[in-house]
Amino acid sequence: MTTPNDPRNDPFRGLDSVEPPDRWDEIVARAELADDAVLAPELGDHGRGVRRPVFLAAAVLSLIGAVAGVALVARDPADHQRQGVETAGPQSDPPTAMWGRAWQVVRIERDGTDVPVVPAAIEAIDRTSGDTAGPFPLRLHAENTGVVGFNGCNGSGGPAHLDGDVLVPDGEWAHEQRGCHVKGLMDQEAWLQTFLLSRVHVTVSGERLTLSKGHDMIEMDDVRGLDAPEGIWGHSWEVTRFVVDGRKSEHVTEHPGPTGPLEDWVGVPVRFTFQEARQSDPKGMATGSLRLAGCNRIHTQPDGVSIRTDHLVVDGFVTHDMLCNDSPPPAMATFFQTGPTIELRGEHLVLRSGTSSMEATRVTGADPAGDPAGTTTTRTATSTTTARPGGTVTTSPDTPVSRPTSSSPPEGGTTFAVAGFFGERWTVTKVMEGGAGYRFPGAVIDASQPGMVVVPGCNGAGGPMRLEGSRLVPSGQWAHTAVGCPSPTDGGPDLEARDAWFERFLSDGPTIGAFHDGADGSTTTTLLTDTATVTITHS
Amino acid sequence: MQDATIALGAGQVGEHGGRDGTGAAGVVLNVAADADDAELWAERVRAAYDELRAPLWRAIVAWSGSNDVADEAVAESFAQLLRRGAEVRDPAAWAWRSAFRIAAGDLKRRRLATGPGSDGLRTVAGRPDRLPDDAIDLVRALAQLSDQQRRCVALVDVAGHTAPSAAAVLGTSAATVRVQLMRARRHLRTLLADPAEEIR
Repeated sequence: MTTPNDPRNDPFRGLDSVEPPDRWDEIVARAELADDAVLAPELGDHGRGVRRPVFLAAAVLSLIGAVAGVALVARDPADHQRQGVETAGPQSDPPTAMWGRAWQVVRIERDGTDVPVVPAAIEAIDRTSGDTAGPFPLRLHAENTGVVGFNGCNGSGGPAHLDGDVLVPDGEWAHEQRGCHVKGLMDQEAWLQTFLLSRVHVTVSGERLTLSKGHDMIEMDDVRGLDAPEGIWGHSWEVTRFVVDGRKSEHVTEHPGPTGPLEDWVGVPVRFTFQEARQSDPKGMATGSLRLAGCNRIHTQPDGVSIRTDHLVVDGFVTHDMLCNDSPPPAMATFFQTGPTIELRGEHLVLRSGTSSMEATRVTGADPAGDPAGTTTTRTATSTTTARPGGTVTTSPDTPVSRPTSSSPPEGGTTFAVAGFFGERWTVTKVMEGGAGYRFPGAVIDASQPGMVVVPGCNGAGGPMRLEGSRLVPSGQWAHTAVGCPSPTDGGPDLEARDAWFERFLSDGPTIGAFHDGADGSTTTTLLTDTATVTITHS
Repeated sequence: MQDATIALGAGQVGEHGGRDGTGAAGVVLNVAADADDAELWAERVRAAYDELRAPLWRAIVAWSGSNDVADEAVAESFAQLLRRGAEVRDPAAWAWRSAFRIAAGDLKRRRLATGPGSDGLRTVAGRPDRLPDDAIDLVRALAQLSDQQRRCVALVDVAGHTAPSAAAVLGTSAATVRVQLMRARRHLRTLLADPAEEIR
């Protein structure tokens, strides 16, 4: 019993002798794990209402921290069996279908304008493995507990409920205020918070969630609706959107249609192809190759591509030092080598890496073994592209380039009907091999008879060929003469060498490039192999 | 890097520098700093915990009447402090304020849990265990004060705050604290002199 005579001292010293336990270890553990506990659907009584402001802050923090975990469980088949949530379906679902799901932002419109989606994190620590991983896409978590929030550097969120199709925020929301060095992220997160608090309209249609308010709109896909990333193998993909460092790539132009493919500067769709290797690597990991359409035929080694969790890992590219203005593929190759995440939904593929992303649609009916696009240019060579295995593709201009500013052909029209190769007698205007100059000008490739190609000469050669996609491949035995040809005179062609060279070139199965109609009525195209480019024309 | 994550918590897992290896100056610890900074922050919080653990815990026990509430509030406030990182400029002040807020929320929940007819703090807190008799007498006497008076006594007379620093914790003025203290002490003298006044 304390003495009441000294109110300052004795009566209040009763607690001085009590020493609270040192709970530092528990505090550290809480700091690490509290957000998991707070977000757990079955909050205990002790946690549910104890500290609502703290709970909200922790919930938001957890949205940030949950990124890695969500990525790891995204393809658990059991995840498809969500409580009371219908899966795919073209018709609209009730807005309440948004709860209990994680949604990945695929599109943001601000004031009616499509803006790039900045990822939530470029790099973070995977809490399961302890490894550094990333990037992590922007996601909205709509917990069954009625808490919604975006992940990110400054995650924001709080309690909310649905009033019809309107998401009404409840009570106090939390928002972190950290400095974030990822370009555009802080602006995006501030906008997201304001948007989410503005009583947005909710539309759920199958795996797609749309939040809209006035001219602002966010489209999101259920992260559990992703297909296995291995679905990329064996298909060619046509690029529909390519964003580099938050800006649409200057290397490609928009197709006039809303869903059309991107085109390179001569109006050819930009494509790439994944081809799975016949044998997995010793660890059982599926590997394969990647080939980019284009003049320089940039490609990986047969097992140079693998998928790790949901990341695409590209060891490096090899290419040939063709002289061609081939900028989209090198820029794409650089992007592929940044280890982008794979988001595959049916025929739609999205690769994300930091603030860069590439969207593509699967090309139906294309031959993945060939070069489906066979893209090339009909312009003069303007740059040298080099790539090293395991390195980064670089492009160095040799001469000033004057490039069109749109996808319109430079002159005349550009088509890609490779069947037009047959039925014509083509004159060789340029032969380039190993990046070196003109060889064998004036030679003729006679394809006037469908299915037959003849190269007239001292020792002419010819045989049946057919089209496989855009590739021209021998389809039977070739014949050639074997006569003694005159020795080359000063300045004259080495006819014997020329004839042998063309026979070898055609037997390699060249790819036919785009057809360019000149203003003078001529048509020009190119034949491409791994080592050489032959430009041919006919009037 | 992993150490930093442990120290800062999952909420800090976000942006340990981009691929370019740069980090913005002036950003919070989890964003820009490396493991060394995280360790420094953890050490700073640990030092604050060592200094404040006892007075903070005692003050909350005095105010709430529950060592369970105090245990929870102190642990949670420092866990929050660890997670928040260097955005908290004054860890000690932050811990005082947040611990009382956390304890307030905990008390509110416990009162609700007792249902209608509960008689407030005494039911909520129950008989504090782990406390010596004189401490229990003090806590029970404090339970007869108003909430604001109890806060002032807990901060000034139990924890050793000055009136201005107690006012900062409570978000009020030093003058208000002094007035509340005067009334509280007068009432306490009566309560502690006559234990029959303890419960009424």
